Amino acid sequence: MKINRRFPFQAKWILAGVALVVALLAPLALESYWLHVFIIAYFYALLASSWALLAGYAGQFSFGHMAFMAIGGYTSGLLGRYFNTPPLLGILLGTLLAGITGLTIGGLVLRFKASYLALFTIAFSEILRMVIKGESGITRGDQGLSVAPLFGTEVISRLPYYYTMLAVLVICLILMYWLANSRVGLFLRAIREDEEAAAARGVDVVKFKVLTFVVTSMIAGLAGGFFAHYITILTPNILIIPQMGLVIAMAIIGGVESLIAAAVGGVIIQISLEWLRQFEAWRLVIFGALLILTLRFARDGLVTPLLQRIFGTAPKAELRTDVSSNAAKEEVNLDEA
Amino acid sequence: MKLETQAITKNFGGIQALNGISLTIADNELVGIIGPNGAGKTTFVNTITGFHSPDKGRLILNGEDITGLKPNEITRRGIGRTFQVTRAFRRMTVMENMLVPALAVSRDRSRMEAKEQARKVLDFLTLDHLRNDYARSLSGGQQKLLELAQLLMTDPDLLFLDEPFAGVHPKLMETIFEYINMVHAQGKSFIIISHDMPSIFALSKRLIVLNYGEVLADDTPDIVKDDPRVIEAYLGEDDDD
Amino acid sequence: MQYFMALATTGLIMGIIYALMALGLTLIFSILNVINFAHGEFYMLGGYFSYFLLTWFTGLNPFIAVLVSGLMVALIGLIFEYFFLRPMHLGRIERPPEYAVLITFGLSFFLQNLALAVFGPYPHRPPSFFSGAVDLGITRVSADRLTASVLSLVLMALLLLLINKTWIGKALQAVSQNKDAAAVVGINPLRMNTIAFALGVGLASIAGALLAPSFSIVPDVGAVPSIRSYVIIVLGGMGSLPGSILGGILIGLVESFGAGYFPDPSRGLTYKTAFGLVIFALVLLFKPTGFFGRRRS
Repeated sequence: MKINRRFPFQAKWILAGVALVVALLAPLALESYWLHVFIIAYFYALLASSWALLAGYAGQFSFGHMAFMAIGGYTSGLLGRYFNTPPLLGILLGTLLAGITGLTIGGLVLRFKASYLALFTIAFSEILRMVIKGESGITRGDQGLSVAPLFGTEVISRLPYYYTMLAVLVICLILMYWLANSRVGLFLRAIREDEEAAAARGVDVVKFKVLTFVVTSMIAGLAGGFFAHYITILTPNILIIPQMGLVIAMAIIGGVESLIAAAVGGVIIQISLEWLRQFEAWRLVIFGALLILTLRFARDGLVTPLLQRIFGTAPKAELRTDVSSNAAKEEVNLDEA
Repeated sequence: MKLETQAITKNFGGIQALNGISLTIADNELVGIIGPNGAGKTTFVNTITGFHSPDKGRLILNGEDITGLKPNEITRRGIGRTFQVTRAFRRMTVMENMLVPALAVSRDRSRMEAKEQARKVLDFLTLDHLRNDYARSLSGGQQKLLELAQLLMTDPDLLFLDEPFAGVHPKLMETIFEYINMVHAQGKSFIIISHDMPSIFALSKRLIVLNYGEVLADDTPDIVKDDPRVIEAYLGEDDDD
Repeated sequence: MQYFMALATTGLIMGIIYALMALGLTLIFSILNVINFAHGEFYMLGGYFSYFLLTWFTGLNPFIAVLVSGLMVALIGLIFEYFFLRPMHLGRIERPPEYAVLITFGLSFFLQNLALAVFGPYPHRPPSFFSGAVDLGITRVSADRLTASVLSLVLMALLLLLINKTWIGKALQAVSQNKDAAAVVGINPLRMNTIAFALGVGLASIAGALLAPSFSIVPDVGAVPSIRSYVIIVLGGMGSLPGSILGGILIGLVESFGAGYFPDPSRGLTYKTAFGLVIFALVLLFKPTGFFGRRRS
């Protein structure tokens, strides 16, 4: 069943298969340092694609994605530090806490128009950061909370971490892809297009918005948990607003209405950041400018149209540059005249 | 199907949009609602379909109190509506637009079944060949038809049409008439709000006139036409809005 | 009681400055229907500009520096509005509400990183307006903060005068109430958008410049003030000017009392911004239209 007509069914899966094989074999050709770069890139890809599910499919804009990531990481880190909780259990509990927090915030805010979510989550994220920083007796604040490595201290190789992060990314992408193509995904896109019309057609708007917010918050928490047990030190700097900005830049520049394009955007930008190392702080200025220009001139992102061009499958309506609501209005007026 | 509105009142910042509306809509009725601008027609639809909740009064559907239910719950109970300005899901295909209501109101309907039903409805409304196009690439008239098609996917007993004839050319008008008559013949009730006097008089079997949020007249079109109060309410009104 | 009054006084003084910044955000929202997620970065720029004006032109009157930095930021705002927000109102942008959220957030990301690249992460602090503290009888307040507060009060009064007495102000009001009707009587809503945006970010910049001598300027200095402004406009009912003034003062008081009566005073300072979030949640729970919400027709 071809509900998503962006790319032809088979070509899409062949490409995904090739990408997966390349990712699986990549460690053969990568030095340890670049292995690290890719582990971090997969982490960002997971954040960017889950943010894209929320923003690009459901049309809900959260600026608190990094806060949920931090909830996942810090929960597991703190449980490990004070209760010797094994990493995997810690990650599980961190993911759950991210979900519960998402449910609370979503239940409170998602009854209202979209802008309240952005307002509330940006405040929540910044205040969580201040609390983590301020409660340094518990969280070690800016000194950093040391977290046990996932595979114990004896394992020095980055290889197991590489495959773990890759597996987490692929499994979450499959889960999100399934959700986006299920009836839930259909309802989410209807909500994104017009909340009131979706409600009039029988969609329980608040329920599905909250559901998506909880799922994407949990994925962010999960990503944060694995990140913490890889990087082994957490500081409040992981959830500063510019970090959120970076994830958003990845999703938007990739293409926010496609999970894969957003993930690819995450990988490409994270690797470019390494590659452009000599430009230091100016790297993020470049991506900031690119984010603004992409929003203004290429709303579908840069990766999505590229994929469409490769397959030559852009639907006709997608190529129309005019805003056709105006066109439709004019037509109605013509009909009247 | 039996819908009762009991003394529905709705206020907007001191302006009385609906002032104690009590009506009963029974099975297989074809009701037109007319009234000067600002008479409360759209507020009436919005209140019954759950977009506003009434300040006072109750809504009873088949004996069940549905006052204050959310729009999606009203839809599931068999009341469907269109909007004055069409609101199709623009960046979804025509078929996806049809699947949303079909799958939203019934958990256990499969996509295959829903698609089959959708294609029948689309075929009737001459939209089937466009089913894989994005809704935003449709003309204004086609989007109007799409909305009517979507309505049928929720299997409603009562259909509210808000200005179905506004800005519609004669050919399309015919299709919409045909649609109304066909669906009505299946035993469903319609409430049609319109400024298009010839159409609404020709179509409806019962005509309700709203003015200042109150029911001014409620009778057959023939009687309403000669009602002096109705004529007075429309005098000096510019009714081709 | 003395302690209470002292807290009330400092709360009021800070609240007035918060109100000035929130007023800018409100002005932009009420005219353009856009929440400016880069508001904190315009505040930040105001601080840097006044710092560099005072460093480069020794002997420059600090108040002139504040004003000039406000004008410079207003100019930046004007340019941004013209190139990135106006197309939205011309129908050239799809899904304008989403775009507005993302483009202003994107601007915030860009400006913050730009500040980091240009000015570095180290704090900059312009010289004081007046050194020392003023004894108000109830409590002693730093002269700089008192100056900032008094000037904010004057500016707010001027702004309200502008809105209520001048042609531009009336045009702005007309646009905020009904764009189409305003256009019919010959007001160009597009021009009013640009004016409102420039004016609004100018106010944020002046707030930043006024507080720069009290709190040093770093690239992310705008984060907390902007979040405070978001809480204030929700509290004041999205788009109401008097609402945001009262909301600002209320948040100033809440923060002052919250920090002052918190069991552990050093933590109180950490948590004082968090009280704002609690208020945000309470408003959403009990009075989602805010306290001065106005109905849009």
